[in-house]
Amino acid sequence: MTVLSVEQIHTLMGLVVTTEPDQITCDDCFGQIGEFAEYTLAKHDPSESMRVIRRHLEQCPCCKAEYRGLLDALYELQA
Amino acid sequence: MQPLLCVFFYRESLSGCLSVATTEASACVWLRMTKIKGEVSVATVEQDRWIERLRADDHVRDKAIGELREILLRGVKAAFRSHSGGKISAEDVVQDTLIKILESLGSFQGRSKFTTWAMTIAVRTAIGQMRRQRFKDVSMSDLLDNNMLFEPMSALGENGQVNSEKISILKMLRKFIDENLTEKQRGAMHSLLNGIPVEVYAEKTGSNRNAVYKLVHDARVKLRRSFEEVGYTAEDIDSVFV
Ligand SMILES: [Zn+2]
Repeated sequence: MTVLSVEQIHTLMGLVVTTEPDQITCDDCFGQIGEFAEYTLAKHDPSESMRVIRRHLEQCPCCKAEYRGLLDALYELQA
Repeated sequence: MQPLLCVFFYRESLSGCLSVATTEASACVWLRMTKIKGEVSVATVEQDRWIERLRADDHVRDKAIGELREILLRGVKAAFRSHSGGKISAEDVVQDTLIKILESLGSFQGRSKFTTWAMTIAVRTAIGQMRRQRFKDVSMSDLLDNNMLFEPMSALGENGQVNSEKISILKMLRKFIDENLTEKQRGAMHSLLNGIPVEVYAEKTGSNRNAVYKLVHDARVKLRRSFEEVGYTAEDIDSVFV
């Protein structure tokens, strides 16, 4: 049994209020994340299907962390 | 001699990105025409012979693997700098990644540059290993704990006074968690709140990442709808809590 801290309760409330529909899985996201990262690096507006990826990233901490790591890696290669 | 241009592949990807693969003698040239604001322009012309080289024999293949190893190593080290987790070796990650890449060359669809695709595999491998290393001592009993009590202090406002609206929302939250979420949803949500990544939770409970992500997402949707059904919008909760 765990007592959630004030911070954890705020996190939980944050998860509740920021929830949006998400039709894709982490694997779907992974399949398109390279293309999405290239759009981001080129500063192009993502298309509608890429916005689905953005929505997943906003709600999935695992995919978001991997996407950030990918951007760091790609920035390094551009340098 | 005029170069032979033979279009053998043409498709419109989900992003509206037109990909045309051409072959000129033995070279494979990818033209990626990106549709931006209604105008089609050649955004990238990528002489991408990676697949061909990685499928070649002996020294051509070895040289390509060596070049790819260097590229991935630079990228993985950069990704390490911004991600905290268990200590792992960049060289080991790249070695594991190269094996995965060579086994799955056929699944490269050309949606991005080859090196970007390879880097997505490297970064996912790296962060996955860091997560496993960091949470290797988390026990099943930690993961099966789905009983969430609330810290009494959470009902206090910024000034330290009891905030009646917060108490009311917390009571509802307590009820919705107990009555509207399944045991599995409570367990996954509880682990997430304790900082355990969905990927780690999935591996330790014999599930998979897609399924656990959906479990958590469905729980979030249920909680949000439960609040809406009793007249509380996200903005109402936001104004009191976040
Ligand atoms: Zn995900």
